[in-house]
Amino acid sequence: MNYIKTAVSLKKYRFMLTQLVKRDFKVRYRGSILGILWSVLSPLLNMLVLSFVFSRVFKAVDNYKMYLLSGLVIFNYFSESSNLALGAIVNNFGLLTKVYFPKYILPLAKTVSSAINLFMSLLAFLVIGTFMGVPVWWGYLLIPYVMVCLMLFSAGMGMILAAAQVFMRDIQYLYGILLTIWMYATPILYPLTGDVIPEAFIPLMKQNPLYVFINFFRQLTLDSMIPSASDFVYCAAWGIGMLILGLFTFKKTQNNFIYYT
Amino acid sequence: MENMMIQAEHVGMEFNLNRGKVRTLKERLFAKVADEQKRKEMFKALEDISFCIEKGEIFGVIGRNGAGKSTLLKLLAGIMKPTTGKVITKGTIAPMIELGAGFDFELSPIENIYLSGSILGYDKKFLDEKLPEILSFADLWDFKDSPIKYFSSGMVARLAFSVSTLVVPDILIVDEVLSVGDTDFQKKSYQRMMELMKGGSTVVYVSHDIESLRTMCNRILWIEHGKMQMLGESNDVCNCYLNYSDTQKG
Repeated sequence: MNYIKTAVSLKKYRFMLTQLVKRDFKVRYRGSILGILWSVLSPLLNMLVLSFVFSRVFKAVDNYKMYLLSGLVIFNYFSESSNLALGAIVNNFGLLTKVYFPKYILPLAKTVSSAINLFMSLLAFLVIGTFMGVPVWWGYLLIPYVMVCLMLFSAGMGMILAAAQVFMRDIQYLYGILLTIWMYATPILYPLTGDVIPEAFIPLMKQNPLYVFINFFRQLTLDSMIPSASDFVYCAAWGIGMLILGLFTFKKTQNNFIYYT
Repeated sequence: MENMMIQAEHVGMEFNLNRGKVRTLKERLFAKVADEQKRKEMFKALEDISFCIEKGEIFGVIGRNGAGKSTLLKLLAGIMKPTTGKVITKGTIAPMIELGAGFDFELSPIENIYLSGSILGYDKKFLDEKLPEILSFADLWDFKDSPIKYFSSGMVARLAFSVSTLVVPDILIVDEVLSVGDTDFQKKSYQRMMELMKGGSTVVYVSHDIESLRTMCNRILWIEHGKMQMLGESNDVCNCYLNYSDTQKG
């Protein structure tokens, strides 16, 4: 029942959410010349640097540049949105102690405002893809599915982090390290094949939710194929599961936030 | 009971005095020993406060600095939950506990009106309509597009006051916000507050200005060290409070 209440309040506070997202968006690129273009440029430049370094190492991967970029687009979104959500409560204590509103809106706004970046870099990926041997086909209609799952997952993760950060300010440092580990544990730079990764680890690494999303996306774009039914289920399960876990943790702890300002 | 807008039943609020201290992982792990000690350092900001406020009433709260007035207001506004007892409120609440909730100093007044307004729970249509009124009231038409980080503090305060006093809510919670801006604006804001208070809202008003409390309020609650010292007709409470303050000084 609580989750229904949450959904109702989300409708009521939708305007606040859009305002917070707009604010993030406006403030982020204020004063920079290229502005929103950076959300396209930075993954692209990142990809170029990495592919310059690694393309020799991973010669076996087809279309390595696009392989790399597809992983980066998804991982960057997750890392950015969860990092921003982490500070969403702690940086807004001034607000929380003045007005009543559902607190989960703060981390959620970060997840949504980062999604604008995701959208831009995704667009860039698809456009560049057409020149790089990644043809457009009807399977692209399924891209929103995996992106929504990814966003739900990030929203859940963001809520957990935002709540944890209130009680223990070490979380931001720990999470920074965790993200680095996570980045290397996810097949972004390298393929998940026996010659790179010890066979024994491969089944385990496939459980990584970020890999689930990236792999789904790569199948749709790089391989021009529809992922298997189990991939669909995994995506949704990770997304919805994480969101519920996040909401649950957040709701359990939110009344105590105010004592840790 | 139908006319009851706010009901506080044996409300108590405790704070942990240790909360300012750093909570690092190390402390967490080795904190068990210190737990015993910590429990003793709870501070009772409010203890056993009970009252009812009826519809249309203007209810004053007095007390010295640190008596627990602001804590009480935050409990009434739903910003904090009481440790013991409960608070029941009816209808929409506009808390004016501090002004300028959610202002972003990188944004312009117009952008801030939408941002802060949305946080206070107003919808877009309403803000679209009220936008000219707010800008006129705050007298900021000339600066409507420049980031408020370049504003003087008085200008920011004017903007904040104008946004917060937009509507006539069912319950208005005011924590001494009248002293904003220069004399002209103070007059304007005082009038505005009086309008709001007479507009049928139930008002909870905290102030140190005894005379304004005496004239505006129906009843007054006097809090001393987090406990109810007196609750009654505004005249009686003001007199007792003044007497008490005198004896304290003498």
